[in-house]
Amino acid sequence: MNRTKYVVFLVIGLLLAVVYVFLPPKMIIAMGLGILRHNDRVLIGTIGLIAAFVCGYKLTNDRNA
Amino acid sequence: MRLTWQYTLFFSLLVTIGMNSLDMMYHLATDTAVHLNYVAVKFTIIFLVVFLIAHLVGIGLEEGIVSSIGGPVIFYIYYTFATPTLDRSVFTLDEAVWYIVVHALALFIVYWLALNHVLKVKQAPANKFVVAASQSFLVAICVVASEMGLHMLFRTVGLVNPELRIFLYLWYALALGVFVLVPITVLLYSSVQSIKTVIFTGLIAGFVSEFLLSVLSGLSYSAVFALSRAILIVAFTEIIRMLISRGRYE
Repeated sequence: MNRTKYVVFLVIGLLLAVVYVFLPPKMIIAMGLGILRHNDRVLIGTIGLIAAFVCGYKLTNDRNA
Repeated sequence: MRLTWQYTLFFSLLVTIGMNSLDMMYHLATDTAVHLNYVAVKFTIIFLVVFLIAHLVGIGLEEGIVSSIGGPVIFYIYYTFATPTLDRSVFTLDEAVWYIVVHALALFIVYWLALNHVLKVKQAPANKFVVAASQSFLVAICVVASEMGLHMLFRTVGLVNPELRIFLYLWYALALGVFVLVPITVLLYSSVQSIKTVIFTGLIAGFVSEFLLSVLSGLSYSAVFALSRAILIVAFTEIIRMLISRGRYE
């Protein structure tokens, strides 16, 4: 994957994390994004956070290399 | 160090299962709940972090440190924001901040062992006994983790267990680890590593350990558990042997 794709995954992952992990459940449901149960949404957001973390590390690692 | 994705997958599985084993034993030692759902989420998060970093960035000391810190921190974030599925006023869980350090330490120990005594064996041959003992330790803790998982899946289903933890005790896990560790160390140290020898040793270790543990713990003897343990021993020994010989296939 090239650098741009890592940046895209970083942004998507962060968005998922912000929406599904850090926002209050009531706000998520009010926004029409209330899929599945709360813990499932948190897990989806956590996977987004993992993707963002790994992509961020990859980008930093490539820059230092 | 870069490996093909298949080898990265096996490396990550080995590291994640080993880490969960040390973690579960720590929970048993500190009387905190070991619950299948929590172990499953922990396994998923740690595995994804270790695998993605190993696959996309590589495997090495720095990557190990980043994985060891990142995985437990992300897991702690999940814990903090998810709705508790257990009554946390009754069941003590690993939700305190300092548990991040415990998880990070467990993950780093296993990662470091797998890195230096499995993947780098060909590059820098070290003391043969230390290498064999480290590889056997990895096999043993992976078997212990898998057996705990099997217990949680099959033996505690439907049980009204007031503590909601598996009915294995720390000494059971430690005894099981030793019963697996000793024969596998002898096997790997003796360099007789044909698949037939590994299968034979696995069967002996599986059935003998089940017999001894059933006598010691009072649990009924289970041929299924003995056989599943034998299969696990062979599988994890073969994963290690395959990771060592990765150079032949790349």
